[in-house]
Amino acid sequence: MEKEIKHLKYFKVECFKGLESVELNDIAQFNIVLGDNNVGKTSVLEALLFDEHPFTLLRRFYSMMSFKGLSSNEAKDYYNSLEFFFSNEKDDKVITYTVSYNQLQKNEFQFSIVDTNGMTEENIDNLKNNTLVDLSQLPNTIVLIKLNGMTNFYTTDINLYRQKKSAEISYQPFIKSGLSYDNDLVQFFSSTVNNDLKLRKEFISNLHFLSDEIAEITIDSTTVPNNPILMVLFNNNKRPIPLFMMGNGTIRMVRLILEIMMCKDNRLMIDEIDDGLHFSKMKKAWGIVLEVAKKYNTQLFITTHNSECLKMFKEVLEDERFEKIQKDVMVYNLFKNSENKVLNVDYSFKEFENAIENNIEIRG
Amino acid sequence: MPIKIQLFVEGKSDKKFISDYLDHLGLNDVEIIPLKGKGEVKNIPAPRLEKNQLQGVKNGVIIDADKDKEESLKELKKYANFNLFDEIFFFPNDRDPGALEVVLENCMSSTKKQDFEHCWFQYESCLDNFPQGFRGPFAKSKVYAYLESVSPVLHSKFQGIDKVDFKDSSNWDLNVSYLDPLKMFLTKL
Repeated sequence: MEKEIKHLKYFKVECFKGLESVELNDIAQFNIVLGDNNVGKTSVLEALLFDEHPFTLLRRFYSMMSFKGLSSNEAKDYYNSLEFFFSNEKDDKVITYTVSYNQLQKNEFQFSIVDTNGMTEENIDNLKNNTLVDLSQLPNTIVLIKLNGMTNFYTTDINLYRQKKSAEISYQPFIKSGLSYDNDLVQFFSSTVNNDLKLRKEFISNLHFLSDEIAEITIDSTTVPNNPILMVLFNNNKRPIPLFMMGNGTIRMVRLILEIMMCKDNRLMIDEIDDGLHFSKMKKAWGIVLEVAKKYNTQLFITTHNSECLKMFKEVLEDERFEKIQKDVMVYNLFKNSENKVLNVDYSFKEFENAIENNIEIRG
Repeated sequence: MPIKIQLFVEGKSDKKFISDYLDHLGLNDVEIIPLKGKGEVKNIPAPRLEKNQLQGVKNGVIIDADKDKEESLKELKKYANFNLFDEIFFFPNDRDPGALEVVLENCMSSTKKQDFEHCWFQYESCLDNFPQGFRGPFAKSKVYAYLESVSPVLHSKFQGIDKVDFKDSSNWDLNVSYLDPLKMFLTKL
C-alpha cells in the first residue's frame, strides 16, 4: 500500500475510448459519476486508472484488457488491443491526461503508441536522447509517455507490465460491475490483510459494520486443494462458512471494505456500486462505504444507475454521522449533446440534495 | 421525440393541467418537472439548467403570480441562477394576481359553469346574510367545489387536481381566449 496521499483534485482525459474530452473539476473524496447507458461512465472510471508511473500505467492498461477478455502473451496482440483505448475520431494514437493533486500544479501526460517505421532518423535520435530507458535496438512499435511535452519514458518490453510480482503490485483499484466472489479476493486478503495482525484486526472490526457476529476470516487451503477459499467464522457458529456461500450483497460488501482498505490514501473506482445490493440494504451499505473510506482516507469514484441508491446516498449524508463530509462530495453527470459529444456538469452535495428532493432527474 | 423545453412548475396539479393543455395544443416536446412548491424554484440546481442549455433545451418556469406578478418576479430575481431561465410565465395569465385556481375557474365548461354558479352564488349570499359574518370571498373553494362536483369520485374521495382530466370537454373548455397568453408562452418557447 502506498503511504503518500494521492487524492486527485483535477482530472482531464482526452481521446480515451469514446471520450473526446472529459474534465472533472473540484474533485472531492466521494465522487459519483452518473449518466445514461453508453455515455462513458465506465470509461471515465477506466481513465481514472491513470498513474504517472509508466510501469503502473502499462500494467493497468493490461488489466483493463484482461477485464475485457483481451489479455494475451503476444506483444503484437497487446499493441493491437491497446488500439481500443484510443479515440476512433482521431488519427493520432495519443491519450492525454492532465492531473492535479493540489489544484495548483497541473501535469500533462501523453500516452501513445508510435510506429517507428514511419519515424525519421532525427526523431529516433531525439527520442533516444530524451528517454530515461536505455534502448539498444528500436523495435517497430513502442509505447511512448510524455510528461509536460517532454518524452520521459518509452518501452517495448511487455513483460515489464505483464508480470505479476505480487498482488499488491498487480492490484488494480477498480471494482467491476457484477464482480462478486472471485479468487482475487483470496489473493487480496492473503497478500494485504492476512499476515499483518494490525490490519487483520482492523479488517474484522470494519466487517462489524456488516455484522457484529463476524469473529474471524480465514483462508482454507485444504478443503479444495489448489483453490484456497475465504471462510467466515461467526461468534455463534462452531464451523466457519465459506464466503462464497453467502449472499452476493454480503460478498460485495466484504470486497468493498477490503479494497477500500487496500487503497488507503489513494483512489478506488467502483462501477455500479448497487450491484447485488437489495434496496432495503443500500442505506446501510452506503454508511459502511463512507465510514471505511473516511477512516482510510480513500478517494472513491462510483457509478450507479439506480435512483434508490442515489436517494439513500443523500439520506445517509444527511445523517448526523456524515453531515460533516457533505462538503467532500461531488456528483458528475455525463451526457451527450446534439453533436454526440460527451459533456459533463458537476453538482455539489447541496445541489444534488435539491435535485433528489424535487425528483429532478440527474442520471440521464 | 427529443425534448426542446424543460418546464419547471410548482407542483403536480400544475403539471397535470399544463400537460393536458400541451396535449390539447399538440405540443409534445416539453418535459414538465413538478417541484415541491413555489419556494423550490430557487433550489433548482444550476448544473441541471446548464446541462439543458448545453443540450439546446430551453429552461421554462411557470409559477403563481399570487398577490402581485412584479413582486413574484422580484423574488425570483434574487435566485442566483435566475439568468439560466429562458422564459417565465406567471399564472393565471402573466398579468393579473392569482394562481392555477384562477386559470381553472376560467376554463370551466360554459354550460356547466352557468348552472354551477347559479348554486354557488346562492351559497355565498346565504353565508353573507348571517350577521356574525363569514369570511369571503371563496374563490379557491369555488374551483375545488366545481372540481369535486364534476370529477369522477373514487373511494368516496376527490382524488386531487393531478387526477383530473382537463381534456374532458364536457367539464373544461381549453379553447377559451383566457388561455391565449399561456398558449403564446408555450408555443414561442
